[in-house]
Amino acid sequence: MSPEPPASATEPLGLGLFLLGLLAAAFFGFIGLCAFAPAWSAAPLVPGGSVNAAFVLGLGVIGLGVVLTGLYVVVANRAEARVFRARS
Amino acid sequence: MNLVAIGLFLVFVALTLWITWWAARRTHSAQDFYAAGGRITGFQNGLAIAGDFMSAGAFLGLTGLVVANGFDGLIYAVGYTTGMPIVVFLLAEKLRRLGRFTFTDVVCTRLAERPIRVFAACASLVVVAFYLIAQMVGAGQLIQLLFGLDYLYAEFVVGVLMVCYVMFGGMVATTWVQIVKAVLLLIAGFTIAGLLLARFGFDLNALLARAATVHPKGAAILAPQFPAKDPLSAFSLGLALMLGTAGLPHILMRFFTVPDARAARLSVFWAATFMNAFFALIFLLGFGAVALTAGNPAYVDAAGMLRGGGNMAAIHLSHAVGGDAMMGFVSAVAFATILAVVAGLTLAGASAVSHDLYASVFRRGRVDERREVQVSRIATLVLGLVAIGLGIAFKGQNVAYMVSLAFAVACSSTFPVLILALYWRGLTTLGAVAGGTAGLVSALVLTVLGPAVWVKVLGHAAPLFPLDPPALVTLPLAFVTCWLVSRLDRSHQGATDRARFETVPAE
Repeated sequence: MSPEPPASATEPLGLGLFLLGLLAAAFFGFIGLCAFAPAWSAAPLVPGGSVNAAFVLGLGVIGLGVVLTGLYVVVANRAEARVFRARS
Repeated sequence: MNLVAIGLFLVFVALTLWITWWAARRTHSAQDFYAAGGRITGFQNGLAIAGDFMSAGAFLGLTGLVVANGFDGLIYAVGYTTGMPIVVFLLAEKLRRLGRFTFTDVVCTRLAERPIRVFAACASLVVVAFYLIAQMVGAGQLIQLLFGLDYLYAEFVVGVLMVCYVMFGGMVATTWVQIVKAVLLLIAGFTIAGLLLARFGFDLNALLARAATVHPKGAAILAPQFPAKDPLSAFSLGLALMLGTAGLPHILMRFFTVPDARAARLSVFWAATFMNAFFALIFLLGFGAVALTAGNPAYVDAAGMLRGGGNMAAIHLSHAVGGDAMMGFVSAVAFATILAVVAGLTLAGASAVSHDLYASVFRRGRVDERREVQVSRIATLVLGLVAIGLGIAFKGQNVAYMVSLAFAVACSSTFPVLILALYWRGLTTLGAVAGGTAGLVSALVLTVLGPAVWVKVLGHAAPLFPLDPPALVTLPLAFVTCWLVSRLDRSHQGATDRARFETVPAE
């Protein structure tokens, strides 16, 4: 195993908490809309179509998870690489 | 008997057994057995984590849930994808830094070892048991449908195979089986989705309209129903699915199979990419299964129930779009999925017994690795028998739903203790054990008294506790108990615990 720098130097905890908040807001927003605005979430996006807002929101939450994870990993890994470079 | 399907099925099962044998020759030490020697790359580990998530619960269970309840099933699919990002935001790095094989090692870096290990081992075993039920039920129904074998015998076949996997392979084998299976399952999922869309001229609206026409519940299946009827349960489910992942021992174990924190983070990104793509696919597969199986006598019986049980919707769908060959391929991949997930779970359960209980608590660390691996193998055997028994008791339950119960238990027991141990200076051993145990026991008891067991297994008319799952009550209960007991803790150990937060290398 390679030696690792101290967590405080590399771990963007603030960013992690912020992204966590975003994802939680999106997911519970999705559930909240399903629970408290059922007519809205069931309305077709285009008249006569079958795809409704719930589909878009649900898939949106799934996509958001990948985007936020990617963002965090890029930031954290770059920060760690910087610390390694500074040491050597 | 469907010979093409059975032939393909056997070829794939043989392939995964070969992988196990191949990996077994590479297992030499306890580090190999539990953590694959720390030699797995981030990309490989990402596929393996995704493989853990794309379990029978996901593929068979979610498709079945959509066929039974429409869009409500997809709320589970969305929920399962929210867990992994949380793990990387809050846990991955610290786990890597502090642990060796299990998340328990991590908590023990600052709290008293023996009480924590006893609690963590109990919590891990309960979570693993719920998760195992789901896999065993799915596997039993699959073998029953494919071979016409009695459900009871099917359970024994699955149980024996799963014990073989773990006993001889350990973490190297389960990791490789997960990787191969994740790739095959993604290929199968996208192929079915492509064939399905081709059936409807690549018109999603036509597919959904067809599903709404043939389903007994009509257009109601296209929109969420249960959150409006029972908002508290919907939020409780959301909480369990989002935070449960961070308490799942068999997922957290995977962070110790990669060489460093960078690879651990990267593996979560790959895991999220693959598993979220797969869960998005469930939107299509679920409604596709409705459109092509509902009302078709080849797939449903006279009463309108799916042949082989509600969990078999995905298998019927594969037959509807790709014939016997596709059905054989998908069955084999689904079965390999189940075996691999079960093996990973069993390994997590077995390491709770051998590493946490036996080596650290019972022998107080004075034990050689060979003996520890031996105990782990005995624990595997016992877990196999328990799994067979539970699989028989919970026959006919939807497996995605059973997995959500495991998440509810995990987010109420292991998750609060882990997060507080990593982030809150004030946590003491007494507080952690009291809070974790309160969460574990309440989650377990309220699940038994709730709709999941009281109504569906024991056959009572109404549940004694309405929330399903109970996470909305049990998660805050665990956190508050941890906090309160830690605050009131005036013991010498408590003072040591608080002081050790300073010296833990993570801070």
